[in-house]
Amino acid sequence: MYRRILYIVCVTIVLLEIVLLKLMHLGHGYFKIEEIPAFGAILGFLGSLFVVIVAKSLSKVITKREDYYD
Amino acid sequence: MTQYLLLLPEITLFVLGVITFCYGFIRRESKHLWIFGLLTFAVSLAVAVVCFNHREFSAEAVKISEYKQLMRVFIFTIGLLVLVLSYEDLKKNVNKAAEYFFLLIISLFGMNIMIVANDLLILYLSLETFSLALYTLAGFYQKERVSVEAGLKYFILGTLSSVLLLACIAFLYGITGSTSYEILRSMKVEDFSFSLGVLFLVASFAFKLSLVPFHAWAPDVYQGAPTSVTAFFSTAPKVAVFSALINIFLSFSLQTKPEGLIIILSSLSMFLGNLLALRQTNLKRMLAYSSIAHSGYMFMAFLLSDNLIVLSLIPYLIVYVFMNIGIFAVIISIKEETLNKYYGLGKYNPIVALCLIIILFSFTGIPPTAGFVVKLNLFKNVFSAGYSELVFFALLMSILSAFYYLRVVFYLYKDAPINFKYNKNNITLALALLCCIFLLLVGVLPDLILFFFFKLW
Amino acid sequence: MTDFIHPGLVLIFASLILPVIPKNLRGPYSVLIATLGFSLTLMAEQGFYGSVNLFGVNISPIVRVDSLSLLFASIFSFIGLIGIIYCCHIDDWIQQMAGLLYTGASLGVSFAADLLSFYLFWEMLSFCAVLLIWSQRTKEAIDAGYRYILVHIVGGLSLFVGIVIFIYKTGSIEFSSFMSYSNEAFWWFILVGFALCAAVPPFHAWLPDSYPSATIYGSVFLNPFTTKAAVYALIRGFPGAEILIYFGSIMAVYGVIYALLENNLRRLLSYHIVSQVGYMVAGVGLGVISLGLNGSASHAFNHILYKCLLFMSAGAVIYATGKEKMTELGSFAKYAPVTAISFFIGAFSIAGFPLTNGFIGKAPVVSAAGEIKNFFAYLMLNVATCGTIISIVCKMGYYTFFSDKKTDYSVRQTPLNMKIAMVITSGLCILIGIFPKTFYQYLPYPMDYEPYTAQHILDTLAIFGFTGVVFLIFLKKLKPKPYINLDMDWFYRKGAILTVNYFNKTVPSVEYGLVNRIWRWIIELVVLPLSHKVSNYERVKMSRIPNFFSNLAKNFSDSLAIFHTGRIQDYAMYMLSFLGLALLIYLLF
Repeated sequence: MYRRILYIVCVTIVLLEIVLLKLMHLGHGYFKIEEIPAFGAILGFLGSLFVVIVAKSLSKVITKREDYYD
Repeated sequence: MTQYLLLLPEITLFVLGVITFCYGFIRRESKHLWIFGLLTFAVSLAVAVVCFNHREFSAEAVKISEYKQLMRVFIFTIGLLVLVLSYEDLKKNVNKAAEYFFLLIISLFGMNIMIVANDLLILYLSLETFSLALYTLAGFYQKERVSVEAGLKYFILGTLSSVLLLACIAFLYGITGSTSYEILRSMKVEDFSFSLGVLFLVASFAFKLSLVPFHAWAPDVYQGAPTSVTAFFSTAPKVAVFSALINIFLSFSLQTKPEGLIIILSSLSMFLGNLLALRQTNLKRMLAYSSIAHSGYMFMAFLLSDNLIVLSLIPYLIVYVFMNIGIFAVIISIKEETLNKYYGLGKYNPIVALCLIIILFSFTGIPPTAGFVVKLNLFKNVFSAGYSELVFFALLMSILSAFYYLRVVFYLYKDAPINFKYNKNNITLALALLCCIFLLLVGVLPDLILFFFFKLW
Repeated sequence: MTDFIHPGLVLIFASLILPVIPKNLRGPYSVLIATLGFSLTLMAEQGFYGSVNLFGVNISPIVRVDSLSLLFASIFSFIGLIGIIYCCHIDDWIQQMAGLLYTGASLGVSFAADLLSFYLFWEMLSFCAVLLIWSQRTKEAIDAGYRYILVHIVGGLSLFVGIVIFIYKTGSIEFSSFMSYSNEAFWWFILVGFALCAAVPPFHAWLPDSYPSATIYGSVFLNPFTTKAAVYALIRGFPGAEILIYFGSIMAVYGVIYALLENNLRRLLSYHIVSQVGYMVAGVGLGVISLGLNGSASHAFNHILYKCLLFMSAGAVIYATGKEKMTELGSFAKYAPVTAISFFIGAFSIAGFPLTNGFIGKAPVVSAAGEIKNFFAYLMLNVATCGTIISIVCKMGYYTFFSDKKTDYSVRQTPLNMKIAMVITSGLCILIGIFPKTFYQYLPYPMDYEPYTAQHILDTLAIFGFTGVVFLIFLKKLKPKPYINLDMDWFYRKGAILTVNYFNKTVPSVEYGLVNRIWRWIIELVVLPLSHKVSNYERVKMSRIPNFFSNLAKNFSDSLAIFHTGRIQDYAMYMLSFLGLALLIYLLF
């Protein structure tokens, strides 16, 4: 249920980004790369993916039991 | 009118003293009387402090300057402290309390007049006023043989010194026809009668200061008199006589200073006082010899020029008085005079022992106590005035004095042969502590006392 | 100081009498004092005040009030007030006093115009913080407090060395920008001192180590002052230091990565402080244009608000349940809706959702990175936003307030004053988010910046949405686990033990095997025989001298005593014969 709402919201945002920013030119980015359609969505997806993957792979090294320092 | 205003503390003291006496005479009650006496001194002390001003004033027979006012305040303080010390004695001798008070007040009155005197006759009268009171005080406990004997000795020898002073006055009057201090300045050294007068003057004062060879009365009187009276004897008369002597020496011109006499008297006193103190087994008697020695140190100050006398002598006097009051307070609170009773005191009464140690250190002149500061100050000044041999001798004697002062400290921590009883006496103990704090404070912050005088002059 | 009353000093001195105030009046009294401090800060007029003569050096002025220090001082004093309201129900004057002192010290830091008084207040900050940590009175808290103070002493010393060299080299004592001396030794010393307090990696580990150990009230005070005072100091002293851009951007991501792995509520939030301060540090580095510095200041201001809100709501959770690990919590929202709502306002703010103050606060920093075309910073700061969303809004929010109940905890009623403090702060977060222009005019440099552009809003929303998607994908994987994560503090926590063990093994063997033997040799062969000889000599020869003198003195004294007969006629004779002798001498010579 919540998942479906989230997916609908995401699709709407992507559509809005393409329509408002790319077709109607309501905004402008600082870098060339921002001209890619739906850059925000890509950034959000890849960025959070990056964080999760780095964190998970890091946790193999740094995660210890709670009494590690005792 | 102004001269009455200036003598207001003395007048207050006298009037209140008479009232106290009358009251004590009518109602023999020691506690009321004690409070009355305290009030008398406190009120006159307050008056003296309030009247303290920075200007110099001279009437015909009276002259007031800054350090004299300070000494006056100081004399009242001593009176107050001695009164506190004599509380125990008075409780025992109720029927003599009024007389005791009156004698104390009269002698303080005389001393104060002596400090402000600017005329040889006034000087003589005031000297007699307090001396007579002191003779009586020395033999105050008529029941004890030693006490009476001490009083009598003091009286007879004291008369001799009074005669000498009178002779001096007569000589000086014979030369100039005046008895004011002002005439001293115009004197010539070559004049034989003048030299004779100065010799007699110094001799009679030396008696009051117990300088060798005019000292012999002191050990007997110190030992014989009641302890609180001894505390009084060793402090107030010295302050008064030294102040009067300062007044006279400040009036001298520099060439007429009896240099040789001063050197001989002070070195003899230091030598004999310290050496004889070595063999004493009675603490009060030992203190008598030590006071002879200290008088010797202080007498050296008269070799200095005008302002330096005041700067080096008066701090020494103040500290000396506090040391004496403190040690007599300890003696009173322990109620023992012979030294072997002090064995092991450090274990039973650490506080009393601590007080005793601090005071004895100060007597010896060990830092960080006040005794060191003032001794250094005095010796330094005398040294830079060019009397290096004398200072060296005084230092040697100071080292000697360490033997008998610090011997007492060793006794404090020896094993006690008997477990003696010690009755608590909070008032005197508090007084002793107060003196210790003063000594330490001045020892750590010498500016407190020295700077005050530098500012004054 | 005629027309300026230093609110910091007022707070410090007023808090000192807190212990003697009757118990039930301490809470109201501290609220009163904090209110007084806040209003004094608001009333302060810009200018330079005060002078003092220290060891013959005239320091003037000692107080500087300009728009930058005023911005920081007002948020410090305000959050001090909020914190005091939050903790005014407890019966522990140490925490209240430490809180007030802490506020006062941070005000002192922000108003200090000279380096000496700045340093004084700066050190005071650490000591107040330790007091707050120790107030928890558990073994972990006490250990953490010691680690905190040790680390801060190192930082403080570095700063002190820097300041001393600076004063020696330039002769100036004024606290202003050091950028004209860049790359001199003291520049680095001071920078390290500031960076340590700003928790810049690798000097950041003290923060997540100690803040979770403090009391829940203590952590409300702890989170705004030290790090943000350091940000203030960086803005003042190192505007536009390029190295800070990279450190700041890395630290922003570093913080969220660790936060994502954390299980302990306050430890998670602590790592977010590291991350958020990263934005500010990067903003200082981007300070070659005033947009960066403004962004740094505005982000610090807003960060203090929502971070305190988060800490307060986390504290409320801990207060209510006694649990502080996500693995032991869950579905808390239904017990305490006020706490949950305040938490989510704070969480959305920190993530930078439009219409919250987090959005308008950090927007200038990110834009500044764009303006000067630093793609690295721009990218890292946006990635940090993703991480913030996923770790705070999604992970912490979901596993604490929704999900299933993982342990059977009982719930206590949250006190009214805690709720009031949370509601006020939430309200401010929203208000500032809606009216950014009003807020921007208080920033230190004038700027014309519009945060609500279509591009910006849409980008943010997209990041939010797709981060949510990623969270849903990894929902199972991201479930909190009861583990801890190692950080830089490993080096001094484990490293210290290893070092001590190493020395335990090596030093005694050297000591006993080598040094002792040499000593023994020296003592036996040289010292003992020599001292034996000396003492023999002393006993045989030297002791005769003092013996001789003491015997001499004693004999002399005894023989002199003959003269003291006790007879009065003898005494009189001495006196008169002396006089006669004197006269004779006088006449002869």
